Amino acid sequence: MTAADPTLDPTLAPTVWMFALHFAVIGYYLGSDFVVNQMTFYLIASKDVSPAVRTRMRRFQLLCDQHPRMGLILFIATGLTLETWQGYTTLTPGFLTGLWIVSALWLANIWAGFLLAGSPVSANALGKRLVQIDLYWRYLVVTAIYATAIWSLLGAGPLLPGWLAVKYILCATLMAGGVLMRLSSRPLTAAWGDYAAGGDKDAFEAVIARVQYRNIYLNWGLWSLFISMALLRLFGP
Amino acid sequence: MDSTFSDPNTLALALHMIVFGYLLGSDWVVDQRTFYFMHSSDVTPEERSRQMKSLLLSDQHPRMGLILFIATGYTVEILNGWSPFGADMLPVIWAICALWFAEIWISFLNEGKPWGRTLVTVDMIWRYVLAAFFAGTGLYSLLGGGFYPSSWMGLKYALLGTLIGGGVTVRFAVRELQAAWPGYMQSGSTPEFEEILQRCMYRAIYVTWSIWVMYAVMVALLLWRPF
Repeated sequence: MTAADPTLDPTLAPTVWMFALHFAVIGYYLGSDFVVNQMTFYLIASKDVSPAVRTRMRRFQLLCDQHPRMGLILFIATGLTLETWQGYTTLTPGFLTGLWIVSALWLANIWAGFLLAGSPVSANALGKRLVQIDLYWRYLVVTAIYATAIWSLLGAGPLLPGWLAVKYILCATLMAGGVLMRLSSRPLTAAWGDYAAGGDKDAFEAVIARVQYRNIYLNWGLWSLFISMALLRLFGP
Repeated sequence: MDSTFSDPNTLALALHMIVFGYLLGSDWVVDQRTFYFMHSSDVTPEERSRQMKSLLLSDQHPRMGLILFIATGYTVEILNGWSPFGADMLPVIWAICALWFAEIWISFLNEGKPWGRTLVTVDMIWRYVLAAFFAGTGLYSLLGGGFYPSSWMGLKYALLGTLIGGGVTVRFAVRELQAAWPGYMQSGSTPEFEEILQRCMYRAIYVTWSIWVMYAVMVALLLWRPF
């Protein structure tokens, strides 16, 4: 074991617990998303239920999808904290405090947005606004992480080892993929209103299958990015 | 700064923590799906039956998680020299876990066949044996018998035995529901059936919540090793 890694001696050392928490969060993200992924297949195949039941199903699936969303935020917060404590970044304790406050606000926003946005066919204005803010926030975070990682790879940024910069390039790509999934779902959201109102069922089935399969494949790509990041963290070259 | 290439101990701990997160994360969503299932009395019996099958498929994740949790937990303890078992036992433990892993999938996929039902019974008996072994050795160590070299490990394995026993009681808790299911498929939802469903599912949910707490305590004991 290297000096920078947590020891396995009896301890309450924060680094050991943060190490454990960080990897537990990786498992939490993947485990919850595996089940949400199964639910997506279930939703696609639920052609025989009424539009009202399927709308409820979709809303429920989005509720479960809050788990991997929370997992991503916790992954970034625990990861940067651990890496800073282990001396792999030049981030300051003040920055880490700010990071956890921002993460808490981000968590609050994804819940407020979800709870106020309503079902796929009805959303109140504030909920829509919060979801929109979350989307812009992700654009900003993706850009900031890419810029910081590239800056670090060029030798001047706060992420000291090259593998860590690569890890955060993958992290930004993962977040961009998540945003892409959201954009990819727009035709489905648009078609849902017509479907719920008793519109063309065959057309809707074509849209839901196309959109959801596209998202499933994208999501599998995101899992591979997540696993690659965990491996990079453990086997930093 | 040192290289970050981790030694087997750290890798095993990381893997154990990933498995811990995996089984809790997947089980939290399964738990949510259980509530959804309980409150779907307005759908047809066929649809609810489909829901139940999908729910049981999702439940394979925490089941796999338990097996991986045992295998990776033993690995962490053996690699660090805390376990009564030596490194030569690691391949045996992983082989047993691999067989168990295969068994839960084979029995799940063949539950409708007579030999599949036999396999489910074998799985149940296997869990009794494991629960008795872990709870017995854990309690024996806690009482000073010394099967495990430290008390925290005795407590951890006593909890693991209790947890596995708790998982088995969930199966008993839903037997009343299994018995009522054919009638529901014929006549649809009735207040009596919904009452049975709620009672069985809440019983299972409360046991599951206790299991989550036991998992968390076991992980805390492994990290802290307080006594």
